[in-house]
Amino acid sequence: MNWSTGQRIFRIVMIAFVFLGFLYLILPTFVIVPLSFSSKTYLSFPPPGWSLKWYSTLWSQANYFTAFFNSMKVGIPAAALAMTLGTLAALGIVRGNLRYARPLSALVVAPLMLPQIILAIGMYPLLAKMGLIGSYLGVTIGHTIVCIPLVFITVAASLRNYDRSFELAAMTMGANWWKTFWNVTFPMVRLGMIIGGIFAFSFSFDEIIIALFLTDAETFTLPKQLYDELRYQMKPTIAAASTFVIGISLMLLMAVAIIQRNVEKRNKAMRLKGD
Amino acid sequence: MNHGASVIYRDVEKSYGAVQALKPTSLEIKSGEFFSVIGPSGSGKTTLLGVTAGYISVSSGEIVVNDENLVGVAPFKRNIGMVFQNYSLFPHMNVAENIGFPLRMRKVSKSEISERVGRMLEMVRLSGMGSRRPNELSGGQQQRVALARAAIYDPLLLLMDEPLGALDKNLREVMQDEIKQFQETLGATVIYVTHDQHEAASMSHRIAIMNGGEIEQVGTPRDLYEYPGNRFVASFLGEANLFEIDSVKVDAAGITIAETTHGFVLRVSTSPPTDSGGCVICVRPENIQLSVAQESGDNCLTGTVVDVVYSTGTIRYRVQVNSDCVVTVRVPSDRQSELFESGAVVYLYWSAESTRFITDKS
Repeated sequence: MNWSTGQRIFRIVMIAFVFLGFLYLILPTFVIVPLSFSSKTYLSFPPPGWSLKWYSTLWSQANYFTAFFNSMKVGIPAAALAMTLGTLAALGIVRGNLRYARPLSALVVAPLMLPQIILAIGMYPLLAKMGLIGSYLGVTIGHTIVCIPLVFITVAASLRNYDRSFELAAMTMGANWWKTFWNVTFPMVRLGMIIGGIFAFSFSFDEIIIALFLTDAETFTLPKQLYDELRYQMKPTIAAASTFVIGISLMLLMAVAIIQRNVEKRNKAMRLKGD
Repeated sequence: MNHGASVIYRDVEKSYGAVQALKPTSLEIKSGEFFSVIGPSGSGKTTLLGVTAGYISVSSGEIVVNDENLVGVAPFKRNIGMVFQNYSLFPHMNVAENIGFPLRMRKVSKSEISERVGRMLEMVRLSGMGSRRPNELSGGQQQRVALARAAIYDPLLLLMDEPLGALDKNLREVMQDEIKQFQETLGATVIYVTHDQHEAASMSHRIAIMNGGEIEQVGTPRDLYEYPGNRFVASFLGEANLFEIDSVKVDAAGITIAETTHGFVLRVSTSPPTDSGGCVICVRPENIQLSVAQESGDNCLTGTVVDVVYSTGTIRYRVQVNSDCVVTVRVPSDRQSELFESGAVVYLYWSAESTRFITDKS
């Protein structure tokens, strides 16, 4: 009896601890949401009154629209490039029987681990020499470099989930390299590619440091626009725009969660089969 | 498939850097033969299968299947069927799509694919299951799908890599019969890799025993068991009582008599091998008989029973005949035979015919 009471208390303490942990992680992000509905022109928490006027102000500011479309113009190609290159890298390193697979794999993941400010400082003179500063191509290249590891990691993980014998089996049955990839490997890594692509896009959509260095007055992305606004005026328009960005990020996260649930279902089925 | 292909390996060798995974190996497998390759892990049996299927390249040598050298031919052009240990059924395709996959790769028409898949499903007794996903099938059913998929395109040769490794013991025995029957119906040549000596013995026409990257001996299951070529083969296949030899002489009647290092004097039917260094004497446990009283026999020892194990159909005794020598004896467990208990003093006797010299190579 005593023991089970102790256990119950332990359980309550643990739940409270986990709850506080989550609160700590997400509260700062969500403080911005009520601010965007404030009735006053300055940022204060809690807001003194409620209104939707900052959303209509946001709607009327062309800069935000330009910034949003710029983010799309950079994020979508960067994610697509990363999906292609990251998947190829994963195939080569996981399936290729390469002698230097480990150091190569570290090299591919390095841009994610290195401080982005250092990457940006390094990229600036290089891209300047190529005349790409301020171009969509320049910032897309910059983002792709950091996006590739995100795709590489998810695709490599899904490849490691499947035994190499699936591909060997396809080959003994008469499928050449291309047909083996298309009929066997690709269906197995497809979801990993999509998840990696979503991570890559949301990285590019949130990224500020590389964008600060590589964009100009025409190609500025959404985080860059928010940063610029913040420097000159602290209006709740920023909060409204931030809420919009949070909404998009949440949608992307949800998409990942749904896909992952499908992957887990399939893996579970695979494991049952294996035993 | 009416007749499976014949396979000839000529000095096939595979090295990874300084490591020789497969030492130069020559071997002939006849058309329609069920040929097993057994050996401990790392003995080179999986490498032999890999170079045959073509996903491992050979370092040197030739693999000739039906008069065609396959070395350098891409795996997808070899027309060889392979069943993998984990079956490797594609999880994103249903049973019929899995079985039809090799035909689709060969651009066979849709109507012919569905007809041949239907026939194949019938043959492996899975009619009506074509639309199921592999994970909805039992282990034995998945095994049959893998067999059907590897055989539907009439390959020259069927390779099987521990195909029953994932199944429990009872199902294994059922599937052994099924695979054997499948092979006989098709007339296929099968190369079957396993680490299970009983499985190999009960299914195969011939067996190759591999160790350390080379073939130790090739022969029928009976040949290998009754005439093991060396110490490794004798102890890998079944159980063997091995006696180290001190001296050998031939008596007046022309019978070879060996004195073992334990001081036992044994009559042996064969003469000692002359080719290489040392040799030992091998006696199989079921060739030894037990008795409470001393009886006449070519060879006789006495000792104390130290261990009795009953297993289905046989009783296995361990008898201490000397301070550092224990002999294993296996007798059928019918009701008439006397049961000895641990601690009993018994006489062991066996004939000279079942006492053989073998090369001392382990």
